[in-house]
Amino acid sequence: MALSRSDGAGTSDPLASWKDCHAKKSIIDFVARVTKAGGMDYVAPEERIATFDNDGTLWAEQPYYFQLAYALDQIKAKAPQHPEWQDKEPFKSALAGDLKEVFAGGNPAIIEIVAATHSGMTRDEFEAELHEWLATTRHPKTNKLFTEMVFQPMLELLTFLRANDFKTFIVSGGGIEFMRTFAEITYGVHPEQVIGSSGKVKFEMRDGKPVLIKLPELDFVNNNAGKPAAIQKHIGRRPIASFGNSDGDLEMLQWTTAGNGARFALLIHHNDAIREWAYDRNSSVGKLDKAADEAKARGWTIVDMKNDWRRVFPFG
Amino acid sequence: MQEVLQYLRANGYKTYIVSGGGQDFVRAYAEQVYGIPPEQVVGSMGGTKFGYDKDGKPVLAREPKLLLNDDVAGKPEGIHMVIGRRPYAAFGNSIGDRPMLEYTTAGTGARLGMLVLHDDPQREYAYGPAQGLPDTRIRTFTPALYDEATKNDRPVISMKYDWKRIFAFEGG
Repeated sequence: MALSRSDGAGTSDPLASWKDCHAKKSIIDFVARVTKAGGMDYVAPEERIATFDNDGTLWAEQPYYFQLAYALDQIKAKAPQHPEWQDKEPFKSALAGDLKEVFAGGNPAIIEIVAATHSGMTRDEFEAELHEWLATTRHPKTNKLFTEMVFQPMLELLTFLRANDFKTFIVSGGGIEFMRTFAEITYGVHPEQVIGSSGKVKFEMRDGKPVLIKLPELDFVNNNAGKPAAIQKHIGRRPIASFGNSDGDLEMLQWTTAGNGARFALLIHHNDAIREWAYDRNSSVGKLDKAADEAKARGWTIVDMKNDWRRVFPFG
Repeated sequence: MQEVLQYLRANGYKTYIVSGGGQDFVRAYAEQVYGIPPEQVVGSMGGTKFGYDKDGKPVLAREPKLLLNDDVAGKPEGIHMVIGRRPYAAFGNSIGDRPMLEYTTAGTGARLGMLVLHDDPQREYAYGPAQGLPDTRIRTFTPALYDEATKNDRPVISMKYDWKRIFAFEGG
C-alpha cells in the first residue's frame, strides 16, 4: 500500500492537462522561484496571493456570460408577477427570446436585467433560487451544467498553487454573490476569497429577524480599474500572480506586475473553435485586444488554448 | 481577548476584525498585534482610484469618499461584502456591535454573541450607562443592550470581575 501511494505521488504531474509548453514551464518556474527558501525571489507564504478572473478564465463565457443566462431565465420565471415587462424593453425582448435585441441595448440593458433579477429578495432567498438553477439548467451548446463548463487545466493550476501555499482569489466582473454560490464546490475558493461586482445590500430587522436585503442598485463594477481597487478593499495586499483573458483584466495584471520582486501575469487566448470558442480582438464578450499587445510588450505569459491544453473541460 | 483569538484559531476558526475603525489603519498593525492578516480586516473604507503616475506606473490613489461606514448596520453589510458568510461567533462592546451580534446569532445551529462590559475604572475604563456605569462619550453600552443580552443568553463579560489581567504589560 505504501508503494502504490508513493508511486502515485511521485509520478503524477500536477498540471497534467497542460502540454509541455512555454506557459506551463513559466508557471512551474515562477512557483519554484518564489517558494525556494533562501532563494533570491523567495516570497513568504502569507504574501503568496494569486488572483483569477472567472468568466473566460476559469469557466467559459460563450455564447454569453452564464450569469446573463441565469438572469434571462429569471425574467421568464418572474414575468407573471411583472405584467409591465410585456411592453417594456429590455424585458420585452428578453421574454420573446430575442437576445440580439437585448444586446442592442448595450450594458445599460444588461444591468437592468441583472438588477431586476438579483434584487428585492433576501440574500438567502437569492442563494436558494440560484442553487436550484445551477443544479438543473444546461448550457445551450454543450448540454452540460454550467458548473461543468470549467477549464480542467485551470482547476489543476488552482490546486497546484494552493499546494504551494498560495491563497487563491477570484477577482471577476461577475456578481459576487452569484459566484460565491458555487465557487467553493467548483473551484475550492471560499466565499471570502471571491471578489466581484455587487449590488447594494441593506441590513434590516423583519419580524424581529435580521436580514440582508438585496437592493436594485449597483454598488460596484469589478472590471478594469475596479479590479485593483477591489483587491485593495478585500485583500489589502498586492497579488504576486494574476490570471485573466480579456481587456477587463489589464489593470489587474498591471497592478500585480508593478510590485517589487518576482511577479507573474497570464492571459488565456481563446483560439480553439473546435473544443471551445475562438474569439479575441473583435469580440463583444471577453474582448482581448489591448491586453494582448501589452502582454507581448511586457513578456507576460499567453496561453494558446488550442495548442497548450491537452483537454479543455473535465468532461470529454 | 488575545487568548480568545488564539483559542478560536487553534480550533479551526478563521478570525476577522470587523471594526468601525479605518480598514487600512487597522490593517497596519493587525497582523503583528493580533495575528490577523490584512485580508481578514473589515473596517470603514475610503474610496481608492486606480490610475497611472507620470511615468505610466500603476497607482492606487485614496479618494476623499466614504465607501462603507463599518458601524451599526454597516457591520453586517461589511461582513456580507468581504466575508460572504454569516459568522458563528461575534464579539463586541457597544451598541455599534448590536446588528453584528443579531446577524450572527440569528443563524441556524450553535451561535455565540458576546459583549465586553467596560466596568473597571481602576485598571481600564468604565462606561455604560448600563449597570449604573458612567454615560461617557467614548462608547455606549445601554441598559437595553445589557437586558437584551441577558434575555438572549449572550454572555456579558465583566472586565472588572472576569479578567485576572487586562493588558499584557501587567505581567502574569
